[in-house]
This record gives sequence, C-alpha cells and structure tokens, in this order.
Amino acid sequence: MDEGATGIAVRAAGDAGTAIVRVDGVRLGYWVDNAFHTAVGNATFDVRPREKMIVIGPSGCGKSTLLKAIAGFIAPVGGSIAVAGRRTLEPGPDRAVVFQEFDQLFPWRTVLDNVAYPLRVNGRSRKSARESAREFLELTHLGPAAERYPHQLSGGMKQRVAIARALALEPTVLLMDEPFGALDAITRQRLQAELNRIVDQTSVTVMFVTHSIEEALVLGDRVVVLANAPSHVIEIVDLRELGGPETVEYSHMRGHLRALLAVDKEDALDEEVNPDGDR
Amino acid sequence: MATADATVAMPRRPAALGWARLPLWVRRTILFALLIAGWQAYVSLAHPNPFFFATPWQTAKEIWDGFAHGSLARPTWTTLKILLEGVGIGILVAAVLTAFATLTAVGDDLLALLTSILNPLPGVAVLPLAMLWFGISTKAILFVIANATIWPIAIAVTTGFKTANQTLVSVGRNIGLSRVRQITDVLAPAALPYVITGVKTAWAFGWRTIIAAELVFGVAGENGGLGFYINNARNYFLTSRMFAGLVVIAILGVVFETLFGMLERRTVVRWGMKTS
Repeated sequence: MDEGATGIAVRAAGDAGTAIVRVDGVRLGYWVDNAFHTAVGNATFDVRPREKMIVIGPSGCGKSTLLKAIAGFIAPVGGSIAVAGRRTLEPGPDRAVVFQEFDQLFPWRTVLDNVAYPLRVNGRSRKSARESAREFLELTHLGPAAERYPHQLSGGMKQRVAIARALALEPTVLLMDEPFGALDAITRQRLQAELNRIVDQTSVTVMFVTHSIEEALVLGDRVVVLANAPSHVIEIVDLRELGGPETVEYSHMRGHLRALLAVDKEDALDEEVNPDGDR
Repeated sequence: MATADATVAMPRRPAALGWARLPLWVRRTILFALLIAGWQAYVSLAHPNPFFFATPWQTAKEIWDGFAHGSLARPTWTTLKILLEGVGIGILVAAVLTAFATLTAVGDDLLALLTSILNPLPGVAVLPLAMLWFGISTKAILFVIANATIWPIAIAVTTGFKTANQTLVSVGRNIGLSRVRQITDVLAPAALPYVITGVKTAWAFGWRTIIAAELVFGVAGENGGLGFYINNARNYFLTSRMFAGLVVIAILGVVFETLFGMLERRTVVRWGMKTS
C-alpha cells in the first residue's frame, strides 16, 4: 500500500489510539429461562483502520454475539464497545452487517433496489442511490442480475448482493457474521477470493466472524482467537506477513491456530474442503 | 464447464398429458359449460315445476334484461358500493389496530382479546343492534360489514407480522429504519401473503353479511341491494329473478377471486414468497 505512508495505514500499524473498533473488557451473554448464560466472559481487542480482522472460536464461544453487540443489537453486560470513538448502543448503517442467512435480502425488491433502498433511507436522492447501487453491483460482478428478484438468485449471488448492499453504505466497519457459512465449499472459496479483491479495492475495514481456520487464513490480516464459553481472547495472531498456502509458515500457522482452538483433525476435515489437499 | 455447451439446444419442457395440457381458462370454461349443461339436463329431464325452478336460458335472459334496463344493475352496484366501503373501513381499522398492537404491548393484548371475542361472532348477529343504533340506514349495514371484516384481517396481519423473517427485521434496524418505516417497509411487505389471504377471507365474510343484512333489511334509502332484489323477487314469485340474483353473486365471486389471483401473481408469487 503506497499511500500507507501518508495516512491511515501508518496509524493502523501504530498505536491503538486510532482503533476503529475498540472492544474493552466486554462481557456478553443471553437469557435462557431466567438464567443468564455468559457467552463472552472478557474480551479486549482493537480493530484498526483498513484491516480485515477475523474473530474465530469454537461453536458457542460467543463470536457471533460479540459481532451483534458491536452492531448494536445486544448490549454488553460489562465493559465497553466504541466504534470510531463513539460508544454505540443503537444499530446503524455505519456498522453495516452481512448476515449468514440467505434470506437477508428483501424479497419484494429487485437486486438493484435492495442495494439502493438503504441509501434512500439514509437520505440519498433516488438518482444518486441508484448510481451508487449500480457501481457496487459492478464491483461484485452482479451488474447483469440487477433487475432480478432475490428468489431467482443462487445462495452465493445472494451473499454477494448482501455484501454490495453493506459496502454501498460506506460503513466505518463492515461486520460479517459467517457470511459464507451456508455455502458449498467451491462457492465459498470463490467468494473468499472475491471478498479479498473487493476489500482491497474499497479499503473498507472488516470484522469477520468464522469458525473456519482456513477462512481465517485466506482472509485475515489479524485473527482474534476466542476460547470456549465463557470466552476470553486467547491470542491475537498477525497474518500480514504470512506467505501463500504453499509456504511452510502457512502450514505452521494453520497448525498453531488448530492447536489454539484444540480442534481435533476429524472435526477440521468436516468443516474444511480438505485443507491439506489444495496443493 | 463441459456441460455448459452453448450449441446444445434448450431442453424441452416435457409435455403435460391430456387435461392438464389445456390452458387454465379453457379447462375452467369446459367445466363451467358442463355445469350449465347439467342444470339444463335436470330441467329437460326432470321437469321441475317452472314456478319453483328457472332454466339457464331464463336466468341468462333475466340477467341480460336486468342489466339492460337497470333493474338488476342498480342493486348490484348498490351492494358492491356498500361492500367496498365496508371492507375499506374494515381494512383501515384493522391496519390501525395492528399497528397499535405492534408498537405497544398493551395494544397487542387488547387486540388479541378483541379478536378472540368478536371474530367468532357471525357478522349478521350484530345487525339488530346496529339497526337500533343507526336506524334502517346504510350506516347500519356498513357497521355490520366493517365488524365482519376487521377481525379476520387483524388476525391475518398480526400472524404475518409475528412470523416475519427476523433476519429482515435485523437488516431493517441495521440500515437505520425508524420504527414506523420498519412497519411500513419491512413488516407490511413481509406479511403481504397473510394480508392478501386475510382480505380474501374478509371479502367473503363481507359478501355473506351484506346479502344476509339486505334480506333482513329491505331497502336502505331509495335503493335496495342484491339481497333485497332476491327477496323482492320472492314476494312477486319471480323465480327466474331469484336465480338471476344468485348467479350474479356467484359471478362476482369468481371475478373477485380472479382479481385477487392477479394481485398475488403480481406481488407475492413474483417475489417468490408464495408458490402459484
């Protein structure tokens, strides 16, 4: 990144005072039959401008709950969350979310309108909203599908529309809650590559929740590893200097993450597309 | 992609066999003709007393004349107008009630209570009371129809709102919708399949209620409706007129069913929220 020397990227690499998202001693949970279950016991980490921060952890560790708290859907019972210096409580388009579910698109709106409508809601003129929507649909290679209705799209296309919709809002941080979790392996790999390209083109800050080590390695700049519930941050792993999948460090890193998550091999093979076979 | 060879012809849709192969309107027309033929056959073979039974031809002629001279057109229009107004009022009140029920917990409980009390009540049951309150006037009939339509619609809309996709509701909050816009722009369209079903039911209830009310009621103002027309024909022993009135009601039923079908095809079916 050439422009890094002048602007945001420098601060991103530097002190934590410029964090876009600051999660500080956050405790989170949910009520089941009058009993409070702690999902996240104590989480502290920062997301820096322009980085792709992955949150990974075993099932039930509260990683999705954490993302929902940053989005403003759930209030933490302890600690604080600040986005761009603001203590956020209400959901808002500055923290656009891409959900896992395919039915997150409005079925009664065309692909174009699904992307343009949130912009209209946030005060853009009809013309300018449509222009932006077209732009972001081009970015996600969905131009030809603009006039279709969501039920006429495949799962992968629906998720791309959701990504285009979230990006068009030009969020401070793009929150992604296992957006590729319900896709088949091949489509998932394709979308991961596409997401990398899109993020590079738009320099958006991303926080991405997944339970897949492979996904974390492919997408992440850094990875927050959460323990079992009630969880805390075990380690924040830096992947920025990591080589491609063919390198030795990559395999080591995979092994390291696997050890952190204490995933046994069989489980890992269930959720990955044969991680050792792709080269 | 070996299978996506552009030169391969589009596969043909397998031809449906026999009856199912015909277009819908042809199938409907054939069945309709058969029904009329059965009616005619009964008249020709069983020779029912012509004072008590009209032939299809007599009925058709009565309808034709009635619309040409206005003796049937006027009551039809009167009934339709009151029905449209009554159902319109019903829809408005139901919309306000459900919006109130969605925004407040008290409203929610109140609506649940009101629907459970008033929905099982047959529409005409409140007619004597309505006559007492409003006199023998169109207002009384409107009141009865509105009461008959509010509750099925309210139930349908509430069910639609409650079963609305939670992910969409979350998306709505995420993009910064106000609570009112959340209702108008997310919940309402999400509930549309239910709303249409509710309005259909309400419409059917309304029809029953207005015809029954008119039978009891006679003339409201200077014009009587279809129920009055049928009852009046009985007073003068004009059997074919009674048949004509009934057939017009049936035809209108088919017309509105078709209109609702078109509405569904243009909305919920087109959006993949309901299969055709």
